[in-house]
Amino acid sequence: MPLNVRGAVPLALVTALVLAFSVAAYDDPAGDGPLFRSDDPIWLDGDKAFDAGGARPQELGQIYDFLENTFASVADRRNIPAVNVNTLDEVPDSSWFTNRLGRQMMSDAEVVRGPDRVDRLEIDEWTIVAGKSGGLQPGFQVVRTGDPSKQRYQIEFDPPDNPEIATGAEIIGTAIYHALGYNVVDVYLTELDVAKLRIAPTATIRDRAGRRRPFNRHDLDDVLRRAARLPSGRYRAIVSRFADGEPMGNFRYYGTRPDDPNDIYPHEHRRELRASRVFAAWLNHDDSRANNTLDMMEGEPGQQFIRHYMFDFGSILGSATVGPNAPRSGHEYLYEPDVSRKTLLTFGLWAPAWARRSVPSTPAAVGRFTADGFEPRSWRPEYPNAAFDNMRPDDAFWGARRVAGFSDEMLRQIVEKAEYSDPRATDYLVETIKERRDRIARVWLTGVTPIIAPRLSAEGWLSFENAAVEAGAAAPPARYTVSWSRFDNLRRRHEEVGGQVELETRRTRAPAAVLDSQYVCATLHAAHPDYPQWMAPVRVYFRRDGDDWTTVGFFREDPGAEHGAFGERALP
Amino acid sequence: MARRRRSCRARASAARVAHRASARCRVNLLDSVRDAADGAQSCMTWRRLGLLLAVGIAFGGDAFAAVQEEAAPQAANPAETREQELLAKRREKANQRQPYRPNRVEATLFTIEDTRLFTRIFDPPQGAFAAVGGPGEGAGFGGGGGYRVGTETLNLSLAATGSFKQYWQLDALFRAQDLAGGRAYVELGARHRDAPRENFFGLGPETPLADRTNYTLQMTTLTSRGGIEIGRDVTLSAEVEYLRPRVSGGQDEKHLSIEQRFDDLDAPGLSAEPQLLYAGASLVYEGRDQPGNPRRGGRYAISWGHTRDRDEDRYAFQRLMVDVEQVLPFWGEQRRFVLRGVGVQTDPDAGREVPFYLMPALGGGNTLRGFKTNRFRDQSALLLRAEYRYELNAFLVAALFADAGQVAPSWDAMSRRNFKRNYGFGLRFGAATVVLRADVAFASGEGTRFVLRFGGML
Repeated sequence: MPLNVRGAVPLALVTALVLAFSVAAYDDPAGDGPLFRSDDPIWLDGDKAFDAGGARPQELGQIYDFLENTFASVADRRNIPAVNVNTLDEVPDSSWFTNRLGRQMMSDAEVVRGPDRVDRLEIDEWTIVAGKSGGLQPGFQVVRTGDPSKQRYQIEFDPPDNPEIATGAEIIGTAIYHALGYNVVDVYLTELDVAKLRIAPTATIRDRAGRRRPFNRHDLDDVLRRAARLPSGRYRAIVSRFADGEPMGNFRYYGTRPDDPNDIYPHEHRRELRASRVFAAWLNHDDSRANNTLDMMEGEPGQQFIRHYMFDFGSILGSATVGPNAPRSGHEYLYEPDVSRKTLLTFGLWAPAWARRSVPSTPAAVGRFTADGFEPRSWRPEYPNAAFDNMRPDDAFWGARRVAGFSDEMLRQIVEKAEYSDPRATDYLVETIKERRDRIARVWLTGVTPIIAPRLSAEGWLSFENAAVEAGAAAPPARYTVSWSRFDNLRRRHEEVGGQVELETRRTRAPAAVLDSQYVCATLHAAHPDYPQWMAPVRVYFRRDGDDWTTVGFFREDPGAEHGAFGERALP
Repeated sequence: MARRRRSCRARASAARVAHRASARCRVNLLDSVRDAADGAQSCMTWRRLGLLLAVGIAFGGDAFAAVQEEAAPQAANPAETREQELLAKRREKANQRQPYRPNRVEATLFTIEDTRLFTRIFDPPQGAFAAVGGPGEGAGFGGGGGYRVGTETLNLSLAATGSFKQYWQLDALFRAQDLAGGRAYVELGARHRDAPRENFFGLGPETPLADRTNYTLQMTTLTSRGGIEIGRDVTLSAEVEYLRPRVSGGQDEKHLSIEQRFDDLDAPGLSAEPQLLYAGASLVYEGRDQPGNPRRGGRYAISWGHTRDRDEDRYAFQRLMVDVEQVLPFWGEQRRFVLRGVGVQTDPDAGREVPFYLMPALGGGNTLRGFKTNRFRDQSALLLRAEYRYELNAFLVAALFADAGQVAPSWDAMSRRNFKRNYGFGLRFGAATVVLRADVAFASGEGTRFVLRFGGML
């Protein structure tokens, strides 16, 4: 039907209106910046706010966990930034994580001590109250004889052929994971005198068919037969203090607990879980899976919350708990279809590079753990881990900064805490852990523009650091570039002031025209011939607080992300 | 309409569930515009313009919602603190909290794991148990069950197994396995086995396939056995056994029964029903890392024993067996050559004989895989096997293998040209222990055989 002429005018008007509206719809609500709240950046995630008392234990089977993570894709795999970081791209303290090494100064002694409440557990007489509830490592549950509090501990031993291998790994792993910020339980080395062990009349154990029955002398003999014995007749063991609270099962590396109101961030998008891939690679924690985590209910009725632990480090480094690691450890998943197919079709004449590489001989207490051929990006746990898979360069950078924060001396003291009888074991482990640390720094500290610690002084001087250069992982870039803008927080708009300025040093003065703004944004990048990715800019936001400026925002550009170049956190 | 549009925009902005919200928004806007258009029925142009406006607004609203999702994923109240925002999200979840409900697969697998169901079914320390697999070599597929009383270290097991080939076996075994601080064990056992279709092709290395016969062997044994660990990975054991064999015609009607082709000269012991007494000792070094699926190490065993009959003094012989296996790993233990040699020599005492059914035999899934079970039999036997195993993943190992073996009346009569050979390929499924082995073996002149075995490497 042809349009009449009279109708053409309103048509044009309305069309113009529609177009204008559409444009306004794109433009109206906000600019391209973040929205800062008055309490940003937060350093405490209030995840104890609601009573979690209704939660019930969630036991996770090992078979299902393996099958689900290997053959199913249950987690959210979107390439989005970690959702639980604050506006400075850091992880606030929570029931999952506490900022320790990296954010606060920790002395070497504090790092070495880890979570331990006392220097040494001076307990000679133990009463066995139960067999171990799971795991391959020989051991049992005990209380100190006569202790009215009935505080429970778990005692575990080394395998006969590799004395010190599992207990040493447990001591080292606990100290390091504690310093990294995770919740871990106290573990202590001890020498156990079997003559001073007694079995409580009420002690029980599950037999091999899973039925509970009284723990008897044979059960003790069976454990000790699988344990390394010292020349003195005693047994070296680790004593792990049971965590406070009621066990709630394991946490998974994806999703949230539906019965915990405080658990709002999908685990696969939690920064500290994604970046734990960096730590797992560093220490070859190939057993980093849900079964080696623990949720504990703490608090008084009506104010209960769940604290999340990582535990069981007896199979990190070169240890597989009951012996040395399999050669595959850290290189491949248990099931890798591509590898299987290639191997089958070539009758095994093809083999992955790691398998063909010769492995250095190591002391028995170390097991199979080397820095030779260690390539952090290709490191693998035993089977896929959703949070690890979701790790992005910014997550890895966050993790690598913490790894690089361990000094040589710190690492030596941590390894010495394991009290290896063979000094070669200590030396080897220290050197290997250092070398793997340095490789992680070279790979993951350089994966993003490594600008950190930006500050704007009251006088308007901007300064910052370069984490990769600071860690010795890279040479300084040829130059830095900065551009300035005033930032309207309510409208989330930038108003650029001046053009790009090239810097020879990591210090420059902000133009006066931006300093009368409530918020100032500096966009920085670096030019380095070896790291083109450093051209990706970072945006740093400062908020005026009286005469001073507070750093309130730090955003890295990630062109590959699904949430925009400087995408804000995608809260669930 | 404007109010609706604003409310829609606010909703999209606040909710950050953009696609759903924008879809709802679009529907509402369309409805609104339709209402407006209905009010102007007299003017066709305005109706059309209204439609255009509706499309535009709907498009604009949708785009707007998308922008909101991308650029403003958080609630848009700037006065709200971050803490309040997170509190609101947690409050929302608190109102929706629910217990974790595992899906059916997870619940089932957890139950299997938590109750240790397979151990409970197949190898419990006490109570009833089931068995999979026939009663011994040549029995074919079968199964059975039993009952165990006692403790994990001191127990009595009673078991019965049978197969589709009508083999059956009854076992009673008393075990004390935690003696001398766990270094020693003692076993007392009784067994009756009825094997109605045992192959016999004659004695010697060159028996024709066409001479195949079968026989029934009923064997009752009473055994006492003990062992002690005398050093690291070295066990010395001794055994005394009473055997009561009875040979009769075979029940496999496809082949001749043994007495139709052979007599007592060809098959010593065919017509006798002796009572035999065996005493022997063995020394075993077990240096393999995991015997059920070894990746490195070796196993070296030697055993010697003497058997004689208690009635007629017709059968008396000594038997010496040497069994050596060495695993040679390479490429990170992902590839392994497994070499094994087994030599068995039975020497009759002067003027005595060895019953044919107690002579060593080759052929079958555990010896020469390309040949029928017990294809070759004589007083001495030598088996050599080489297997190249390559790991496909942590649970699956592929293998290429070659077996060679021969039997002879005596060790001296062995000859290089009398070796029988087969080769083949296979898969082993399991981890620390192989639970299922499947082999395809090719033997020159005797066809192709498929071997399926539950449990352990060879």
